[in-house]
Amino acid sequence: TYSCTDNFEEINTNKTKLTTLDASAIGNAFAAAQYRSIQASWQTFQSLFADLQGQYFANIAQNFSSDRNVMVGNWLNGAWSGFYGTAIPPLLGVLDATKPGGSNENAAMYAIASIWKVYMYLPRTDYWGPIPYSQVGNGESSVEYDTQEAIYKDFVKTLATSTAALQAFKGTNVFGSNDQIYAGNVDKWILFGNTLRLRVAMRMSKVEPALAKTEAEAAVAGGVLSTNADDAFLKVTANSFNPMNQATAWNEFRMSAAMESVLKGYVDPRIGKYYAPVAGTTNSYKGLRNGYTQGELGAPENNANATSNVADQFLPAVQATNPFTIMYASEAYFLRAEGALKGWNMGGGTAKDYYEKGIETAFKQWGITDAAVITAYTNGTTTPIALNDMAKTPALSDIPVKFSADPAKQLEQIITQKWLANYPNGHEAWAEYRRTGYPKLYARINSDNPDSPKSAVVRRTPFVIGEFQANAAAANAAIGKLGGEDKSSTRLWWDKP
Amino acid sequence: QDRQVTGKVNDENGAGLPGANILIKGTTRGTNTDAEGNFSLNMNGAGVLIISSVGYNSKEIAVSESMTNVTVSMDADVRNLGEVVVTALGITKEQKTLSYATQVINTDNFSKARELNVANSLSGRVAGLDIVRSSSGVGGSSRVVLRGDRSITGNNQALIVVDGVPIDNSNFSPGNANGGRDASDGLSSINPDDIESINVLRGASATALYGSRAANGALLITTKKGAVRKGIGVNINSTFQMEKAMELQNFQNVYGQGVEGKFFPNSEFSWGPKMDGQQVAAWGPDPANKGKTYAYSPNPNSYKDFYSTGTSLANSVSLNAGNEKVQTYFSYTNTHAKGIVSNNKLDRHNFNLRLSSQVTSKLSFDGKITYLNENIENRQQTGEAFANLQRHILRLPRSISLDQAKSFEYVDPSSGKQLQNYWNPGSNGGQNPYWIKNRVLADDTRDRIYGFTSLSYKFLPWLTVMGRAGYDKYIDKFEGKWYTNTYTIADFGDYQTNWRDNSELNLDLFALISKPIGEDFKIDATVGGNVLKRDYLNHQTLNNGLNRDNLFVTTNARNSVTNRTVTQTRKQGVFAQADFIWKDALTVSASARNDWSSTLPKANQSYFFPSVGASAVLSSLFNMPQAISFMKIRGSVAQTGNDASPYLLMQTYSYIAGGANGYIIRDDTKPFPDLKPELTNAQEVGLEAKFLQNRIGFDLTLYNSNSKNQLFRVAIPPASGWSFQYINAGNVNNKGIELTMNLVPVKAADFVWNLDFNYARNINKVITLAPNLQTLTLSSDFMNFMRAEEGRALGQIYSRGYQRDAQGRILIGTNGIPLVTSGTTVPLGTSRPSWTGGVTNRFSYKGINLSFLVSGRIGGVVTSFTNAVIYADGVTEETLAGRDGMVIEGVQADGSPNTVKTTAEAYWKFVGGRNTPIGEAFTYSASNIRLRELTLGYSLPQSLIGKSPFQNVSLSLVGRNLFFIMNKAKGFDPELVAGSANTTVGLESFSMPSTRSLGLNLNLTF
Repeated sequence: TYSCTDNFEEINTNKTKLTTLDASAIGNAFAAAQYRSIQASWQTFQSLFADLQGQYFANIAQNFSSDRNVMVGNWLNGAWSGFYGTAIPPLLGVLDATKPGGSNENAAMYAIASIWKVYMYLPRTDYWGPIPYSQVGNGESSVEYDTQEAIYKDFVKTLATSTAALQAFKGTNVFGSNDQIYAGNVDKWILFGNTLRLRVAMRMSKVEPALAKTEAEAAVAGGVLSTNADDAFLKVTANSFNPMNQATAWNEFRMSAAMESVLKGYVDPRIGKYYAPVAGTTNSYKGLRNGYTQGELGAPENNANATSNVADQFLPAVQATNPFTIMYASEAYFLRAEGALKGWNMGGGTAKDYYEKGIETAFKQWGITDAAVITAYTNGTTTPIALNDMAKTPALSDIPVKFSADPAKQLEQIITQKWLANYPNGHEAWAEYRRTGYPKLYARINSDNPDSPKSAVVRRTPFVIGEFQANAAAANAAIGKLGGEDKSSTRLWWDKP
Repeated sequence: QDRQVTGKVNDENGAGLPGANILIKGTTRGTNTDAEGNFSLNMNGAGVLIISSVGYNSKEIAVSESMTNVTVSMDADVRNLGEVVVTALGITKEQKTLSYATQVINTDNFSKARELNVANSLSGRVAGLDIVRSSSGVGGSSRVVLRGDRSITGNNQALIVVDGVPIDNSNFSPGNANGGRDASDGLSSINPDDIESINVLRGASATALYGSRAANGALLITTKKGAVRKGIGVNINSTFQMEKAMELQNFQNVYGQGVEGKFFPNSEFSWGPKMDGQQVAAWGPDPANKGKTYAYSPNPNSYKDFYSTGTSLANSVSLNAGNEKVQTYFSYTNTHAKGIVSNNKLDRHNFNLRLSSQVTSKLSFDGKITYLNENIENRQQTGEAFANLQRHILRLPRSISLDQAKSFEYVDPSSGKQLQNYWNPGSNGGQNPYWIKNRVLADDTRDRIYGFTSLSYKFLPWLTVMGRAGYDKYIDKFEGKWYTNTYTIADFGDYQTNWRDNSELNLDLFALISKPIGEDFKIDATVGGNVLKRDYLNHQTLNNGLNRDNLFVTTNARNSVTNRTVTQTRKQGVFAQADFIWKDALTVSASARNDWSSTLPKANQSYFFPSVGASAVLSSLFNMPQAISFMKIRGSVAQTGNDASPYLLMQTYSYIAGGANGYIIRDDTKPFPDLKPELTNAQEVGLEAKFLQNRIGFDLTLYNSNSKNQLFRVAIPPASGWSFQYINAGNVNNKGIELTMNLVPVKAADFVWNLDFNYARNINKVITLAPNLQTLTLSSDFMNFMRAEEGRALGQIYSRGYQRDAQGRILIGTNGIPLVTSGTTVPLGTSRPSWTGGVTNRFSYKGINLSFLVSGRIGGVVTSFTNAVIYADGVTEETLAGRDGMVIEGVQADGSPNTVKTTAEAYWKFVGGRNTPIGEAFTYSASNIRLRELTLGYSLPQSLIGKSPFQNVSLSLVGRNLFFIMNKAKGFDPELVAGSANTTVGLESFSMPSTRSLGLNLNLTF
């Protein structure tokens, strides 16, 4: 038996792996693409950057520096490779198999996967600007970056064609339980696709106002998320747990001072839904400013037990059951409110209608259903408070919840309420803050990054070191597509002053 | 008519010579001498006895019909002592015919001044052998590399061969700077008591016959076997050694816990106020300490006192018996060691049985079975691992005493849970060192069985055919326990198990031909084939948290994950090797081998590699001055190939649990369906000479090798759809010089001084990587990148560094702190030494033997992640200067000298710390010279033990790693690195303290 090499091929076949895939594997791959685009490097992507820049949280880990605007290269590199290296390959598998002419051509699957693709790429281009997009999956040792403009224009096109393609499959189920968001419900994917199209359109409203209007109006006309039953959450399991819940075990972040000022100022009942009382108390919440030094973080008032952690729902004990936030219906209302403010046709309502409907939807989503409570809040005239902390922090803003008659204040109110409602989606918080300047987040206490001093807004994250090693020519060319230096101070394509 | 002739064979000093061969000339009748040199033999009439023994000139004695007793004195062969050496496949050859370098190692001290890993006993003794060791406590692995690194990303370690059969020397978890848990290696499974000799084959020529596996050279270990003797020989060897940590770091004892000059009870730093014994608030969440205070005072010995005295006791017994038909050797060794971390323990049992038999005059049998059972408790984690104990004891704030830290846990009154007591509860990175020591536990066991059986049949006087089966199998089991509330890495506790089963079967069949042709000419040849079968299984269970606190079973899992890996490889080879020898003085050698490997694609499955060489014993060919006893030149050219890892040819997909129905994911390495085998071309020339009756001898080798067509994994842009691909490319050149010398400066009746010296310099250079690839990142951690770069040596370390102006002055920012590069773009140097060497002096005076080994590893750099972190913590003396303000030397952007003040705290936290340390500030020369070994032995004189049953009683005082004569690294031992991988050499990262050991050895023979 040892005398010939006939069995070498069999010996050199890995028996613990699959070597061929059939149509039944497409659903498993789509499930992987959904989960991994969220889970892959959640900490080094979202938690250590967007969540701190959007000021949902402030860092308390003494040896972490990204809250002082340091663009920690290893973390960003991990965020990049986590996305392209682990989340994109299964998505490519689904798209390749189901595309027209693919091995298992399936228009509905292709459309849903394409909508999800836009959701996956959006926060990434909003971090770096130009990123590999159209050439992804080429199998080459160089992958070109696309300009952010090209990517955004492909986003809206993809969303338009995908939602249109899904019309033929209304009422059917695609992907079944492998779709961990809508369990294969095509109708909900259409709503989701349109809401995403509305979000993308709004983001480019400064740089492409006409296209933004057309896309936003088409999205609303096609139907967007409107009730909490439509809310998009990613189901989690013991084997695919909520990455935020997992990360809260590490005690790296606490309630931000910005959240404390606003939630306390508005006497917002969501404070206890979002955050936990300070250890040893039942109803005392405390945030801290972003950007403290190691020494300042060592002060007793900033310590883990003296500041508000996340609410129990986000703790590791329920990491296998607490679903991960993908998109809320309330966001659609706030986007429509802003559109109405711009004079777009958002379905016939006024900015105030959508603003108040957004608040109501957001409250109900957290189980606060008492109409009197909601009305009282919507008509609230209290304003964010000053904090009694070591930085003697002033109030975040002077706007109340009650919708102002002054158009100059209306946008701030809409975005501030959207920021509150979108918790804990730090990506939207940071992106919309860059676009609108709202809410009026606090300057950092310190910055260790000369490109983005403490009073400056971090406008993007620099390209990652792994790309300058493995994809150098394309990464260097991408700097040219950025329209500025490869720094945290360079504004993205849609980010106009 | 037969009669009995008895006799005695004596050595040059008149002592009986055991094992000498007696043959009646013109017959096949013969015998061997016993342990005292006596023999008896039946003879018919008159005849001639031929007496031979390795290392002696043969003698012929005429015996007349009337003689019944003869005494023969043998003369040492002064032309070439130890002339027969073991070469590839276990074939012995006369050293003078070899066309390549070998070095026989003096292993006398290996069983006396013991190391738990035999690899470390080789340190400093072998020219061109570079050894660094993993800092993982007792029984850790070592990296053993000959003649420099050849492979860019593959294995560079020498092949280990025991009695002609390779054994597996894999380390499946060598650790890296980011942290890891060492998984032991093959050399640590070798019992030093069983070693008869070690021969080192350094180059490709020497190893061409092992095929692909031995491109990195080989260590050929020959173990003891039984001898023909009267009665049973018993040897008892006992060594007791004590090991103590050396404190190489200088800790500061002025400032205590806190930051910015202020005390905080939850700070992980020592930047607080001066420690004047003032009362400060007690630390930690333990309610028992609530409201209490303690004296804020220095604890100068906390680091040293944390470690206890390690001990190691090895007891060995061996039995040796044999007649002309069957010889037996049996040994058992028990080793019990306790590391300097008191719950880090090793228990090892080695059993060894060797049976050799001359079944008939033509058929002989040889076989051996070796069994090892080893248990290691609490192997220390290495590198940046949060569960690396050394990290936490090094970081201990200077005002916290060990006594305080010892109360590392408490019971939470509200939940009843047993929780960690630490000054910064829930810290991401900090833990109480005693918690890590006592509440993160590990248990490793290894069962290993290896050995061989062989049958040889002498078909013709010049033709012997040998069949041999060698087998090596080991099962490593690991069990790890993390108690609940081990911050960040196991907040909910954890439990992991691992089962690793590795086996290797070697089947050899070969013909040995040794045929004189005419008077002056001889052919020695080997023709044969080999089949190699390797199987590996790894089964791992991960609990990913516990549901029930501190119940360590696989069913108590928050998220149970099981991983199972199976790999199989097969290789077949045919080979031929021949030496054409003229007058025992001129030799021309050639070898050829063809391998077929299962890991290669069908089209490239077969690969061929040849070698040729020649040697000339000039002292036999020409008349030389009297002073020259021996002189030989040699040269060889060889090629070796290497196959690939399995399963690189096809795209694979993994199924993993998750979601409703599991995930299917394409694996991230792009398949490489047409990969080719690697090739190494090597050349070497050498000169050996002995002078003044062998009082002076040297062996000088020059070598050059190019390893081409290497198979290595490169990162490709992950956006391509794959993160990695393999390519066949590259050319790594190694060239160097090796010199060994043996001197006998004094040789008097009672006193002999021997001096062994070795030196080696290797120059390594990456000639090419790949088209469009000039730099390849091999590994990265928080501080460093290890890169292969065209035009530079392998093992380049890169990190962040200071920004400098055109004159090289450090640029200082407006805040008074140096400006640094944003990326890890500054080359710090190579981690490999420029030369290594060692000197062993051995003195013997009557029964007293003194030997000491001084070894040096000179050149190369080492970076210290430890220093980056602990300087930023403010615990070392280096952080004392500038606490109240300092001006860092350098220039502002306009070129004017810096005048802006900063503080030591701001400076060290900026250049050090965990996440973005400036490696340039923590880089040192790795040069060091140390007293590696010392033995002082005394053998009782025969006059004293003559009447006792003992033949030899000796007692030795032994010491290892006694002190540094020079150490350029600051605060640590540069040879104790984060792991034993290619990419961890030169990276110190929370290693254990270097230790010195002293002990006693007792050896009894009867």
